[in-house]
Amino acid sequence: MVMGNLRKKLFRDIRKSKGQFIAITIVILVGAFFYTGFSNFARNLEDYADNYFATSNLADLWLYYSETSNEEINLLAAIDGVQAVEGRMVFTANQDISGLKTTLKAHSLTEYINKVTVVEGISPTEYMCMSIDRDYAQEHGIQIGDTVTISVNDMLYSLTVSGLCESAEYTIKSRDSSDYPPNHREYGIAYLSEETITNVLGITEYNEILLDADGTVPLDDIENNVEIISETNGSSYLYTLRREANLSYKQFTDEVASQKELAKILPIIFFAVAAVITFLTMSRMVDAQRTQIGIMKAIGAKRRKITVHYLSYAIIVGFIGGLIGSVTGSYLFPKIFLEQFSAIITLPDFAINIHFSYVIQALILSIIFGVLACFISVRKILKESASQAMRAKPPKSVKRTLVERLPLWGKLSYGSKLIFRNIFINKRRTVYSAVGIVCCVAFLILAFGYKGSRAELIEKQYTEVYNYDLRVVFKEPIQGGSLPNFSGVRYISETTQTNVVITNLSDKRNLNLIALSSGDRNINNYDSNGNLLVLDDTAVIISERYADMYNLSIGDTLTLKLIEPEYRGVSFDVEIGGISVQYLNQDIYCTFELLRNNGITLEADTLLYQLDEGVSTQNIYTAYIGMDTVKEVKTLSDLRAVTESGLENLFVMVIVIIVCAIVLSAAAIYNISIINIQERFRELATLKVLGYQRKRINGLIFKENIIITVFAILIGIPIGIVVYTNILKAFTLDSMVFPVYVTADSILWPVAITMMVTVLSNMILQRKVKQIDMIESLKANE
Amino acid sequence: MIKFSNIDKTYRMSEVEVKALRQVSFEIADGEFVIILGASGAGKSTILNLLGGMDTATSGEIAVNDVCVTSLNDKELTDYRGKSVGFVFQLYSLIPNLTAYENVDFASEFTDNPLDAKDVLAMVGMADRLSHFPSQLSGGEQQRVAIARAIAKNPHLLLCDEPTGALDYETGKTIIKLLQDINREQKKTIVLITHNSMIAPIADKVIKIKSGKVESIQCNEARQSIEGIEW
Repeated sequence: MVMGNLRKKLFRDIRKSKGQFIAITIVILVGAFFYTGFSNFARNLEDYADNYFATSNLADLWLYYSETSNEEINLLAAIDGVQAVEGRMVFTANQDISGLKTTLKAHSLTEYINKVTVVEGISPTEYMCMSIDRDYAQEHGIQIGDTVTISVNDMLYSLTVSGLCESAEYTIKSRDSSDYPPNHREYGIAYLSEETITNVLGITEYNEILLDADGTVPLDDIENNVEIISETNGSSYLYTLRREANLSYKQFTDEVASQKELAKILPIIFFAVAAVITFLTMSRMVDAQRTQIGIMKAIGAKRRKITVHYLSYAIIVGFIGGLIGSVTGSYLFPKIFLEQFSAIITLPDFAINIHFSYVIQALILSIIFGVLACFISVRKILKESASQAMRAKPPKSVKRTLVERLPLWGKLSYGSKLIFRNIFINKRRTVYSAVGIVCCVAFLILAFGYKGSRAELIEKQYTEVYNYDLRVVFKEPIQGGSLPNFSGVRYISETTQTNVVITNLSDKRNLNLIALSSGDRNINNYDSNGNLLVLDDTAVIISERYADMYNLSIGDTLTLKLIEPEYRGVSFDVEIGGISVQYLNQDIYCTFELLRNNGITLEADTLLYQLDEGVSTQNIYTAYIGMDTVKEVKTLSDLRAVTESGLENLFVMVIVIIVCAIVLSAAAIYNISIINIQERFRELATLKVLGYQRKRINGLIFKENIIITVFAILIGIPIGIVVYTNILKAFTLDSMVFPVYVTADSILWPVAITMMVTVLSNMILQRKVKQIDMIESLKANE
Repeated sequence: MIKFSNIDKTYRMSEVEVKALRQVSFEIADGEFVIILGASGAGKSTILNLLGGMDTATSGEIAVNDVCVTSLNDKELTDYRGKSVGFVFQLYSLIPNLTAYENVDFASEFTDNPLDAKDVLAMVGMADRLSHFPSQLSGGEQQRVAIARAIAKNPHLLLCDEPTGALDYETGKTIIKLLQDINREQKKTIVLITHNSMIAPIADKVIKIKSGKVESIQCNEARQSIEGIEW
């Protein structure tokens, strides 16, 4: 039976060129791994988020009041399009954990809207109980049943921890927009029963109302009605935030969106590269079996049978690579990222479900390219007559190439001439070999650039923008004259910050307004051209990111509304005087004087110390850390370390990309070189017979590969830079701006690694050259 | 002086053992034109491979002039092939990316006293084809270049494996003629392998091989020119 024998041939072919089979399988595997890994992860994240927000019934509007009453809640509930309204008390509690002063944002429990998820223990419905979030509890080793002491308005209270709770409202637990990545050590979320808050802490009025809309009426109308009601009712209404303006929700959806963006771009690129390499090797493998196809045809095998025979190879490779890749991608990929991911984002009970649609998509894509490549090549050969195909391919007509016109040509050794002719005559093969290497370089530039961006972001923010060495935050506004004196201080300045929303923009969101004295030298704002911006008393400086987002330019007017309860919702108009590049936080800067001119008194509660060269922060730190009036003391290097550890997850991504790039290019170089050797085995055998030492034959192939690699690297560098800058845009979050990092080391490392991959592949290939059998290959026909 | 003494060659292919040569012994004097005759698979190519240092014997000794070929290592064998032996194969085996001149000149790189490539090519009648690539030459022309390549390194010994096997009758004849002339004028020892017994009279010595053994060794007192032979 012909089919049975052909099947035997298929498996013998695979066994005979194991290396090639494995290399193609790996290439496909990497493509499928990335494809399913990213797609599946992004999909799971989205599904989880949708479900999480739906089951916890996340509010559509957050209404803020200085205080409000049940009567107001009833009025709000009657607004058209409102499904439910619930009031709650929200306040700040502090904890002193062996010297570290932490902040807990405490809430009264709600029943219908923003329901909390109990991850351990029970909900704090019992009197004198409290629940805290798991990250905070873990940071401080707090167990269920422990008694913790919190201070609220300078009064101490002891409460029992009844359980650990998480809320969909706080998927990212940032204190404010500058606390990203979030610092779980110093900031946590707490829930108490209303009864506990009223009876123990003495807070009796709601200051927040959660509103759940039914979706029938535009939110704008509801917001207007809320304002009308508060006005007629004379209540202390401050402002309203939509879900999209909620800090945590915004950061989280940004993160999911950037994952989705990556899930769109990266796997496609990886798969495309894998597909190209598969396509190239497959079609050349079939070409190499040209005479065999001719023979099969000559002895009467049907075209369909021959085609099916070669297609099965592609199907087997595609199936094995695609299956292993997509299954490991589904399981392993999230495992690699989840730990880092969950350091930033809290996703209780997040579990990875495999969406088989992605596995199937990956399988189909894995198989389709190989099949297509085989089909095209086989058909081309089958079109020739059997006798034509049985003969070896007519030699390419050799012409003198352009390089030979160079005067140097005559001085080259025959070895070099052979190398150059080979490269220029077989242009197609040269390009094929180069493709894999180009991709490798591009990916490595992406990875190293990305790593560089991360380092650069931290470096710029903590050396250029923040120029102080130590920050002291007081509980109360600073009283002049009572401060200790330190030696070695170069410069001290005062600052404070408060929350504002910009009310004349398309969507309101919470921003930090930072007040400085004019001419402050501790926080420097630079514009995109690197010019230092001077903060004066007439205008504010905003970040380039927000300027881009809302299409703002210098001279535009912003309406800022102070949203901390003590300012009772006061707002004022101010001009934009400068736009600065802010890498980590996207803040608004103004002077104290500007605020005073607008009738607002914001008192400094923070001191920034800039020290002389070589002076340690230790003295000042220890002097302040013990003071009762001090809320926190932070050195710049502490702040920097927190940011660094928070951005750790980017690093894992970088490593994964580097490893995959290396695997991909190694497989590509190996495969194409093997085919190169197979095609030239007669020539190489002749060289052996003529007395060419093995070292020199190795040298011929090696030098050729090096030349191709160098050529590919030269092409890969610009491509890599373009890919990198574009992907960087996809990575950019609302609160972070990654600087483009293209420098000597972000280019040289990829170049060095690519060279190393080429050298290593060549070392493996030497074995193949050794195996060339002179006698066998000089026989009349194969 | 070439001496084959009690050569055995056994190929081991996984479980099967194939005895290609069994106790083969013969001598070839300097300047002799020797034809090794035999059917396909008789072992004549194996003899040539051993003689040319492309393969190693299982047992026995091969001496070419003062060199004991059977005791050379891989590197020395490569050197031996480069310096002392000229090969002519059935399929010419030219380097496709080198011109006729370059193919010849290139092979002389390995030897100490090469002949001038242009002269040799002129001698084989290829003076006006110096800068052609193999793909631009006919089979007979390619074989002439291959012969030029073999003699340009000025070796003691010329080994020809069915040099006319892929050529038509007339072209084949001119190639044999060329080899005969080289043997006569340059006093080079030539060992030619063929299954065509009709050309046996042109040789000084004919060694017949059958099933890996020497069947007969026959010396021609007066050898004939190829021109007088038809087959």
